Amino acid sequence: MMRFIKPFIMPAVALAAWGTALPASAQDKGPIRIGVPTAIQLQIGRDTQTGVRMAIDEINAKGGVLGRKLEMVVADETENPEQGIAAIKKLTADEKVDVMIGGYTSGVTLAQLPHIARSKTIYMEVGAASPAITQRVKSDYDNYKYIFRSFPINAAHQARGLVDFISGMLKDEMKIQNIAIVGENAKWVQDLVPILKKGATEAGANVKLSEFFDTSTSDFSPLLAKVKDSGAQYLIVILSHASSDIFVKQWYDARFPIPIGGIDVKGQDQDFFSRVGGKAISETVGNFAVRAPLTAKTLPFWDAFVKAAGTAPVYTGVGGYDAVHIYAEAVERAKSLEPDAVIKELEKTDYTGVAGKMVFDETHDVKAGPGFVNLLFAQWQADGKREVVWPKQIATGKMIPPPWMQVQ
Amino acid sequence: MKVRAIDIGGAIGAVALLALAPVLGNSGYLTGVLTLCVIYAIWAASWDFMSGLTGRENFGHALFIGAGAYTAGFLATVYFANPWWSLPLSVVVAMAFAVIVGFPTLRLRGPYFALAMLSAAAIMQRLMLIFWEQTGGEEGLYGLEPLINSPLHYYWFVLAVMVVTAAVLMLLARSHWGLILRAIKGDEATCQAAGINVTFYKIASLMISAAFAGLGGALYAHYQLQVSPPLFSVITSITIIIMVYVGGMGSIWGPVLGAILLTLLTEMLRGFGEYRLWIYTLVLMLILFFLPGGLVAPLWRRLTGARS
Amino acid sequence: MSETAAVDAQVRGAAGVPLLAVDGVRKRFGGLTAVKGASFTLAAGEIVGILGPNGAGKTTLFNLLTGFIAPDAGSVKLDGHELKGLAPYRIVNRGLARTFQLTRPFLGMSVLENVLVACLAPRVRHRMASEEHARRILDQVGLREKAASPVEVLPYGDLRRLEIARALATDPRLLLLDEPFAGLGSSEIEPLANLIKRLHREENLTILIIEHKLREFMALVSRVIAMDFGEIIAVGTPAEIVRHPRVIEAYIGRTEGDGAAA
Repeated sequence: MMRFIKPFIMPAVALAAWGTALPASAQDKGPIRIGVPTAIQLQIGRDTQTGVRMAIDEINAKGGVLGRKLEMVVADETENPEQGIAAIKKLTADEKVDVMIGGYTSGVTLAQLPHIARSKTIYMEVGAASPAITQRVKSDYDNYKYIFRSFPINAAHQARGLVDFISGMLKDEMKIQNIAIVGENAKWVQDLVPILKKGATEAGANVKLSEFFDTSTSDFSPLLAKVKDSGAQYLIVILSHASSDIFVKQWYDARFPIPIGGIDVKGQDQDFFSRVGGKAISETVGNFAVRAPLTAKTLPFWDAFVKAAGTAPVYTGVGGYDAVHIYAEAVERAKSLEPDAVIKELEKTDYTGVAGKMVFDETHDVKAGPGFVNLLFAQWQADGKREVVWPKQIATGKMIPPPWMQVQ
Repeated sequence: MKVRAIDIGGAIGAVALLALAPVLGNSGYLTGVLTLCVIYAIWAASWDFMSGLTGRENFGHALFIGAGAYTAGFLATVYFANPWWSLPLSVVVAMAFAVIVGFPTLRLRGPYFALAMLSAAAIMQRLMLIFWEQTGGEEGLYGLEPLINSPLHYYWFVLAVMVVTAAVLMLLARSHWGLILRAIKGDEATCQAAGINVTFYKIASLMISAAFAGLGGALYAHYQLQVSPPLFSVITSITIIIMVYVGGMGSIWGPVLGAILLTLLTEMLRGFGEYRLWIYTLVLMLILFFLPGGLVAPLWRRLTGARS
Repeated sequence: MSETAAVDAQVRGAAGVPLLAVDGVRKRFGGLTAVKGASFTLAAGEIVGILGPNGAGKTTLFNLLTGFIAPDAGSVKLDGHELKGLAPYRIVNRGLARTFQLTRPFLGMSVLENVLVACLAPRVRHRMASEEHARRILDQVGLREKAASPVEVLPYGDLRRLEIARALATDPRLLLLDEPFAGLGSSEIEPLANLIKRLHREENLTILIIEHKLREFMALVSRVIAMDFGEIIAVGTPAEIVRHPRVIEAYIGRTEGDGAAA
């Protein structure tokens, strides 16, 4: 008889131990738990956690929310949808968090949405830009009302921001009309480029070339050759997961006769310039936040973040910080943690964040435009200094050409 | 190897444990994790039946998984059919892929089959990205509905499918069919000289392997509620081969447990944060290095005093 | 060539359509012609030997007859039915079985299981319970007690018996044995020869044996086909072949002009 039982003792004990080791459901007066699903191996993930933690510390120092402290629970969502879904399940079914703040890859968030909806937990996106993420809020409100995006402005808004740059800076100021657009073949880019093309054309620019390339490309010379042949005078790039480092180095080494700029998420990194040995000079990068007095909170937050993390924040650090505050204030107004009540208050959000005034539209997506949050164009200049060159109202410097094109 | 009473007792015990664990642990999270475990078990068992028995290694098992999953995806998002149709259809589509790749390559000796499977899966992954307008590209297809609304009931359904899969494959493996597959592993020319239509058995067993893999793919799609190109990736294929290896190649039930253990391990290591992947890799390397015959099947035989 | 025709005419006259008719079978590998237009026939019930030095093309001929290699030209007919172009397993199911010079049993399986596989060939599968069939075959070749042994522990002589058992299990009408005595010690040769003789008698088998050592043949075969450099150079009884000038030449070297003859 024992012969039968013996082989089962170990696995049964292990499974039972693990099962009971899972934390019990949150007690009534315990801390408010903020789940952070993010790619913890990346800078994006680390900065999200730092931003969230900074906000939590600030709020806890003032007594917390509804008399309860805030607590962060991190789950690794990687850049893979399967792991992403597992992270959501871990946070909602196991850790039973009260709210989730995080995200980065649009594909992962999209995969997580139905699971988030089923868990009836509020989710605030701070990293992914695809408009599809908030689409269902309108078309299926009852199930998807839990989804909010507080950062960054979505790909469509980014496209309009780029159009604004093309029309105002390139066409009006620099008298450049012919542009080329290249972007990595990812969902948010596929969402963005059509809007960009249409808007640019309507603004009077000529889109000479528009190409997607494989995210894992490591040799851009064929692509760059095509751009050169197209007769474009400015190259708009749309990059997030692809290797901006390699792209920019190859552009520089080839003394490419066309200046570049656009949305280059890795180009937003504080150490990008030094990482590529200075070869990013004159690249104009769309930023979601820069160290400039965009609002009263920008400079204090920025410096505090540098102090806490030793490096300037990437945009998810800003997003995470603001999202916690937005959520905390909504809970205070609702006087309850109950999702439906909090959602009602979140929808009424009118909050001055680090990057601008934050208000949600009817699809729970952060609004963009004058008076709200905007895409800021900062250019890498000599010695790694970043000057904001657009919009004009907050510009800190003038735009420079690539060093080999000075004569122009 | 003869099936002993203790082996059957062990099987029943394991299934009972798997079925009751989420109820006992009272955790929706555990239900989700175990659903994934059991689906990987179906994939591992199906790989073992063909490659474990014949020794013709299939490095692109993900091809069948992705085929089944995307079939379910297309049915849900393009054709809006009753989702239950994805189960039989995923089997048919996966078997079709098995014929397309297997027919030209299994009749040849050498690495052609292994390379063809590897390439076919990689090609499908690229195609899903290239035709992103039809397939949803990187983000894939989403909008799939669960087959059964209660996650616990769905888990029991998937568990039942896995048990049937393992039972069918083990019966086949122990039958004359399995004998012929093992003979093919031994020496193909000798098999021919014994009057056996070797190519038929190779293709047929690949189709059987594909059928269950595709079925698992559809079950996966209805659990994740989305399908995306990484399903076709070489990582998926290699993960499954490692699970088979840890479980004990050729036994069918060993890979089932290997898959469950390794999937559980991945989740259980979450507490180690950034080091999760390092530790998982280390554990795998230790097993592969010190236990060339696998972990699960040899361990069971040792514990229950089987003659080797 | 005319010698062959004469003998064949005798044989055919006696038994009707020959069991095996090989006509002009040829095979080239790149620049080397391994088999040059071989033609011969076998009547049902004969034991015939194929003799020749190493490299004469004997095993290649076997591979051509059994479908493991496709001939460039010529025909192979079993009972009047063309075998050329068929896959090896189909030729086996028509009644032509072979053994290999280098035995490659199914490792990881028992002796019984090794024979059992052949009992699953379509030709014999439905005639009786396969396991019973396999045990009977093992009985016939004298391996009954070793049925449960893993093949890895079998001594070499038993492996050769197993080869024959596997071929026998498919109920062949014609059995091709490729150097069955190779590597056997003197004490093992006679029992194996006796086994072959007994099978020939009891199962009414037609047997074609390759050997390159004369002695093993003498008592066993009634007719010898001699090969050299891919060609059939002589056909006759063992006694005739031994005295045949071309055969002697092939084995011993030229008798004129090189002065180094032993």
